Amino acid sequence: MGFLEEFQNWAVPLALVLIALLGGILMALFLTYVISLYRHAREDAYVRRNQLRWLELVKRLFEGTLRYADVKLSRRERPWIRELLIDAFFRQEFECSWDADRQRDSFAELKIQPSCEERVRTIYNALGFLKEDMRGLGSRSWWRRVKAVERLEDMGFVEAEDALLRLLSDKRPEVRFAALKTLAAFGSKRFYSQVGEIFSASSSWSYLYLVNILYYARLPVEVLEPLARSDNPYLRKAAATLLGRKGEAKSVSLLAKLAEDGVEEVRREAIASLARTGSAAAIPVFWRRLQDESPQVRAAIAQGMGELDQLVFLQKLSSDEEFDVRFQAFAALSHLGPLGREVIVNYKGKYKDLAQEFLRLEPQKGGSHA
Amino acid sequence: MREVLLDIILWYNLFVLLYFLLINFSYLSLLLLATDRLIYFMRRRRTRICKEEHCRLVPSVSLLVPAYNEEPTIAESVNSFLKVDYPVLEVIVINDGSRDKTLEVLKRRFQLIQASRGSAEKIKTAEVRAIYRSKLDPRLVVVDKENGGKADALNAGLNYSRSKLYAGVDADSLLERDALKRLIQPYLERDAKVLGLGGIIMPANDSVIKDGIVIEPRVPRKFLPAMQVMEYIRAFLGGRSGWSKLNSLLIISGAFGLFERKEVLKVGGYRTDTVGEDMDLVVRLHRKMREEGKKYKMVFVPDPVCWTQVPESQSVLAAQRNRWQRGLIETILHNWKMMWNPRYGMAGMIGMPFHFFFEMLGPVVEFSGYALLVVAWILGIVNWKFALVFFVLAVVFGVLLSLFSLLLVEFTTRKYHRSKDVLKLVLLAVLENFGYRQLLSWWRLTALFGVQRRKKSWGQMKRTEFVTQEAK
Repeated sequence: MGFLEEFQNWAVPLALVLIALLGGILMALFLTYVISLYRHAREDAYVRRNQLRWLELVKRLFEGTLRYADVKLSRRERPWIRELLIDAFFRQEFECSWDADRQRDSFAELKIQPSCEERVRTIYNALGFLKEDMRGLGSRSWWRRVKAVERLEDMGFVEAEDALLRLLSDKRPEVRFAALKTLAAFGSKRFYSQVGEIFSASSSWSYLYLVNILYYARLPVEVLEPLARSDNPYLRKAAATLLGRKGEAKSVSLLAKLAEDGVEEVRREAIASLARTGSAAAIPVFWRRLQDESPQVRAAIAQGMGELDQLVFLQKLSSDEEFDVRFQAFAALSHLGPLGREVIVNYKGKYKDLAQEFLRLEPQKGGSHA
Repeated sequence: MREVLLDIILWYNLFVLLYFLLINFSYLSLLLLATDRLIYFMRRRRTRICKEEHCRLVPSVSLLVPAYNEEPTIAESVNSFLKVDYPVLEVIVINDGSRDKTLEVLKRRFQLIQASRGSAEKIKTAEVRAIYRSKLDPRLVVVDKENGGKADALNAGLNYSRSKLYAGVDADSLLERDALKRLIQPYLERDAKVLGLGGIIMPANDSVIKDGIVIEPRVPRKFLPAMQVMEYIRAFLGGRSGWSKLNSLLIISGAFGLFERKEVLKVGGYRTDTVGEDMDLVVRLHRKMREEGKKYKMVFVPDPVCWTQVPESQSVLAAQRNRWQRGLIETILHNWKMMWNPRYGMAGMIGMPFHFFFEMLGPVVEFSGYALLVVAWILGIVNWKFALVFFVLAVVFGVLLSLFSLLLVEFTTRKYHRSKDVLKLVLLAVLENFGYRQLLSWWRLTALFGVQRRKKSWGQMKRTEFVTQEAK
């Protein structure tokens, strides 16, 4: 019992020590919090105070009334001016002016400049931001590398291609993905040879992300062929998605092969892609897969037939045993205008509710009912 | 007799002290883990990986909105859900036999027409009376069914959903426009199978809302909702981020959580015999994946925000907390097999024991401590010096945890910008230790005695319309 008798004697000093320790941490946290609040408020005020001056400065550089050599930027204001230039670069894609809503009227005359894009880029370069970004690609922090890559993408500095290609083998996936995205945005062709490797080096789960990035790179069929012939179903599925672009007749034969794949998801993706190609050569493939065991594949065919205006196929799929397939077929028919609606009317007896549903709905332009 | 009692009190004091230290250091460790996680996510967010044009080939998502007597808020909420920026989205509202005019409001506002939609009836639910679709926006589907509870409504939604993923959202919530895009990011870039993703829920009371969007978050004027802001910040940014880091996230809020529909159907959907259907689902998913020896992740994403109305009255808040606690208890007991079982990984070895010892038994220890203090006082054996020091220590710990969470908000999401709100939060971080926390513990304690007898039904919360107001 001696322990218990002593317990309160040592518990109090222990608690006091803890209070002192935690109190110290608490004070440190509180101070950090206050400092952080103060810094944020100060930074906001700083930006508000200087924004017009920075705009004026950029405007003068833009007009050529100020020499680059005469511009001395402090460390603190450099990131803000850089953001301003990137913002300007983005806006000129549309009309080469500042949005009047943002009350930057002093900058409105930018509209009259003939080539904003090149000018903004020149200023960006002359102020040393390009050099900073190139240096940023070698930063030790992965997020700084990513940020630098994204700025280069924002400003369209294709001259960074070599450095970006090197980053495709960066140890951080975030950096690899960012570099790949930027190269795709630049329309670079030099990473094509690495596509297979990029997919293999990434986890099978992230293939969807890679597909999202590469879809807009419009990879040539030859680049995708090895993926389509791979033993890995994820790669075949990725190829099936990436091959589906309007006007790519060359990809049809490869997609036709993928539409016969043993894996349901690959077949479904291939069918959807075939529809996206808009090629009449896809129709025989659809016809062959009309009896596919998977309702999801048949539903994809129904959707595809809608895009290719194939009324006869849709009529057949409208009486499919699976609701999902019928639903998709009715949705596609309702997009086909009066002819499609006429077919739906014929089903008022057999599938009363479904037919009435689509007859009541207004035909949707460009959207799907499903 | 007095000697024995004295011994008991002293032993118990020792136990409470150790328990107290353990629980607080555990919370502190969670916060440290959360810091690491939050810093990563914020860096990630800055890098804008999912830009518009790179987010088109994404998996389809159904927003499942179970609704019971939601007449005042349903139109605004559905409107907000339909405005969510996501390429392949459908919104399924499940009217769970509402006794008010929820269905009528939906019919009128969205011009609903009767529709047919095949249900695979994968999960048995209360009878579905009718299916509707909106003429104005065909992405909106309304399932009108007999009352069966929230879990039953979600199951009905799962039956009618056609999407790869679904997100359960509360009918009194508002989603930020890009919330789904931000939530789906870890799913797209995953390096393992991601089964579930949870976002942050924040109180919307008194915030400036325009056109279904929270344009200026504000700390509520009333005391109880304001306290809940602090509590939500601590729970989401502190707790769940930390659990996510350990891959032991056992709770993904039913108010905003994204799951793979196929996997949820495989575990039989939501259990209808519990009030904690959201936690129960997550725990069963952990269990299933571990039993099948599969690699997976449950991810908390500390950025996409769902704004919700929190209770403003004490009785409603008490009922809500009682329900949450009963859900926790039921889930723990139902999945007891996982407790300290290495087969279930971190979820079984750390997550479950933590929730059992600290979340479930915490109120018991706390109130037994108070009771013993009273007994000791009657017997005249209270060591007031010890009691005072212990109380101060508890307050310091409490403030420390709250302030740490506030600091995380400041460095990461920075939702509240008005200095008035920031000051209010700091004040609340201190004040919540004097009365509010004890009140919450009491409500949680009462739940322990009501696990068996309480009906599994919807929580009754008095709904008020979202107030659309202009920022001052």
